[in-house]
Amino acid sequence: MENNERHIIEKILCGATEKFAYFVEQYSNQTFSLIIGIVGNHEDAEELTQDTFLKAFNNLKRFNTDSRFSTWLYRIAYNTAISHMRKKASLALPIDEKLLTNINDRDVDIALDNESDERIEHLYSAIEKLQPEEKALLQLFYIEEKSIGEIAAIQNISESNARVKLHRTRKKLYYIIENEYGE
Amino acid sequence: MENNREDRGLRKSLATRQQTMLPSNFTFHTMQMIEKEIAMREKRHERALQWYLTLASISLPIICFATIYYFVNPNIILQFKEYMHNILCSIEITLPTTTLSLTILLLLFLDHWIRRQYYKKQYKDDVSK
Repeated sequence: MENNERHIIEKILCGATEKFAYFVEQYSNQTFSLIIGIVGNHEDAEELTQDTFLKAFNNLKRFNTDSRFSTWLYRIAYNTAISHMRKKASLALPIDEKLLTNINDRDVDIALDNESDERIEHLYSAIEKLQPEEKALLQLFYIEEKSIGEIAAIQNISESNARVKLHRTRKKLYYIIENEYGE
Repeated sequence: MENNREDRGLRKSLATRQQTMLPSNFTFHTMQMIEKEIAMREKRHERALQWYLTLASISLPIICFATIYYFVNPNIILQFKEYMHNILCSIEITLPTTTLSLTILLLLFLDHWIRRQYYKKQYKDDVSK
């Protein structure tokens, strides 16, 4: 964690609460980006981003200054968005894990690397059919460009589990586009 | 696994889900919400403190009285009654009840007025800052 951020946190805890604006300014877009990637709705995402910052402010005393503030904040955002999604009816498609094991990794690589408009559109609707946790995983890995270690810390899972989940999610996307659009 | 970051189609598809932005006054609104939360927290803290004080003020004389009754003098209730009776009688003689009530009312009014003046001044100072 940066010394500057640690210093700001110390000041906030001593009563200079207006300094929290620095963190809102610095991380609001990234937090919003993660949340909208999970919930897919602008209004809900904006409200949940605000909730995330409020929770972070209320729990700032518990933050361990040896770790990164962004990872801690992402974890709060992730949990907030996931609990929000659990209250809603899920559109996620249940897929038998056994079906995924037979899929060739090379085929997945080619399918997901295809940049044609049609493929992007198909992938868009396939992403909608994923579990919120899987959407978050893709969002963190591809858009936020977080390392597997950081993703594991945010999702509170082991690094090997994060790796396996990413692998399965990619296969799941391939399975959906293959089955629904017969590519 | 790190090579999977190449998945260009997937990356573009994920990016299309991100085309909305936060409003420009988001920080201002969030900070307003946080300030409200701080004010509410302070109010809750004050209320809790008031409750603790009230509880302490009620329980302390009871505990004192009970301690004296059980460990020092079991006849304390009788003596206390006698003592209170004597005090009330002497007040009746020396001070008429109406004078005493008026004095208390006057003091309460003064207290209220001084407090109002003090808060008004504090508010003006805050506004001028």
